[in-house]
Amino acid sequence: MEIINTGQAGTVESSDCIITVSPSENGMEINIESTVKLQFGDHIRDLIIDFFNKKGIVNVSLFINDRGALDYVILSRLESAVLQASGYKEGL
Amino acid sequence: MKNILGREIPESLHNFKPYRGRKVRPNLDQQVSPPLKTGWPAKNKVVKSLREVIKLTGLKDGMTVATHHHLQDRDQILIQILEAIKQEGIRNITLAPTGLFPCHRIIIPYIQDGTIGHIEGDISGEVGRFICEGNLSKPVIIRSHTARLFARFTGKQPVDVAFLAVSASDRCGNSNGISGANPFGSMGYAITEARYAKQVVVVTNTILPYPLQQISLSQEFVDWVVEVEQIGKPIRKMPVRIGMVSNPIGYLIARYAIRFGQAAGFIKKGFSFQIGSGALGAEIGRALLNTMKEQELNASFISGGITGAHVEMLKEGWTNMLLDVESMDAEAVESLLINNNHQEISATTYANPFTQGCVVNELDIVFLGATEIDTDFNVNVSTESNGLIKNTVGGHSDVAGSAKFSVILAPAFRNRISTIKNEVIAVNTPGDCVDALVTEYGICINPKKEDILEKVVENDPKLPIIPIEELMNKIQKLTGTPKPLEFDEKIVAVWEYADGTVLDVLRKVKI
Repeated sequence: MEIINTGQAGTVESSDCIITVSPSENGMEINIESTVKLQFGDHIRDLIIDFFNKKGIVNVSLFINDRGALDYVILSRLESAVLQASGYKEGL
Repeated sequence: MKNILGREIPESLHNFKPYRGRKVRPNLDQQVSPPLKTGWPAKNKVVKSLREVIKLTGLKDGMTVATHHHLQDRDQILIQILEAIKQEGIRNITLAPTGLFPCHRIIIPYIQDGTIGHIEGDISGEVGRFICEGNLSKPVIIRSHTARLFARFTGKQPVDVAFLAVSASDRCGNSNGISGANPFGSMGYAITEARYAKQVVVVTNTILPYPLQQISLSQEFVDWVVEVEQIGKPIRKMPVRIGMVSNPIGYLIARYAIRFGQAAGFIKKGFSFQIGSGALGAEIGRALLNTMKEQELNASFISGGITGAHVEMLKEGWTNMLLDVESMDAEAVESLLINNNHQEISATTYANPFTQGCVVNELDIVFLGATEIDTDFNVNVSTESNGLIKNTVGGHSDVAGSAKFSVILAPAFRNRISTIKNEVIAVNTPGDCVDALVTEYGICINPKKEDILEKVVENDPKLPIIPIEELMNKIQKLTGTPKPLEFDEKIVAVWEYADGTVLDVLRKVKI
């Protein structure tokens, strides 16, 4: 799977997150801003990298502004942003 | 040294005793008398400016200055006092506020320039954050309302000058919080601060003819009266929106809490209650009023911080009395002025256990908030999950420790941080003062209240009662387990219990 344009999903409401993915030429660039970065920053990074690995996404730039979202929320926002950015019309 | 809660209290805090348990045991040798003064022949107490009164009081470097927080986030007095102290060239004062609010972020420059050298009082907001970043050489001593009283009448923290904002005073210092251009209501905390300070300055924007009508603070305690242009911003009206649900989770928690209180036998005809100012206060107030109406349960009194919602209950006859130590909105102020069943009480009448009995001892049930609670029911209300102080403790531990039944209401998690933890960042209210926790995922009863558990299960078998460890595991399955914070050696804050013993300390968090 390839990231060919910019995709964005989510909100900055409490317990949600907003994720922007866009193309990159140097592998994965992941930027995390989170209200719970001290406690869950590493966990969120692992979650995102794991998702990209599973989808075979190698070159991607991602920014997440997290307001304390649960894993399910982060993953669904991520999936939605990646779908837009990869030009897929159907589900992953 | 560890206290009985298992919290490490460093030996370096040499004057401190570790917490010994809920029951307060004063050492009667420790009590000091309020200062004796000579008020005869009568002197002119009215002074034109704060700078002049500072000269008259003889305030010097290193002395202690007390203030009260009845103007809450609208206060404009503290900054004027600090500026006058600074202009007089006085440095390194100990500030002893009964509470600081977000608006008090403007005192930070006075910490940076050395006007304030130390803080002993209740703090919140950006000042809390600033202190947690390690910007004061000594840790701030945070005391609940009762702990502060104890520090005053044992001489543990003598106050040199109390600057007390009042909304009106006469030339002799008889004053109140309900007259004048900028009324703020009850003077509960101010009245007790005036009792023990070596000198008392009332600061007002309204001087009325002697004698003032409706005296809250008597002239016998007041040394000086200063007129200033402004004491604070006008108090806001908070429209009462009974019946509106703004927060569905809060609504659910409130419904559980009330069923639980009824099943446990503490919500019944003639009961008394108090609602903490935590985020769920409005929800529980609404739910309680609905229950009272449906089942025709009148309360005998409501105490503590009084809001417009409580005033509605009084007006409609659902409570006989309001005992007001702190008025929270314009409706409460107006009601205090006109309704004889809405009574101002001092902090001592409210929550001083070192008397023949105070109001909180008479409370049947209290609903309080928490940011964190551990599996021993120790509560943190001060810090956020990032280890920085955000909220004042107020009377949380005093009320929890004295009322017949204390219930903590909190969402099971906020922003993916579980409210229940193996260990809280700081204990402000010890677990032996807390009887139960109500969340949207279940109700946990402190094992020391076995009799309550049996009663509740019998009276309302459908209530979701769950052991606290089990609930914690259930929630952490959803949220994940947070990485524990790391702390430096430097101690930034100390929390004292009602009898002056140490509940816990907070170290500077590593970021």
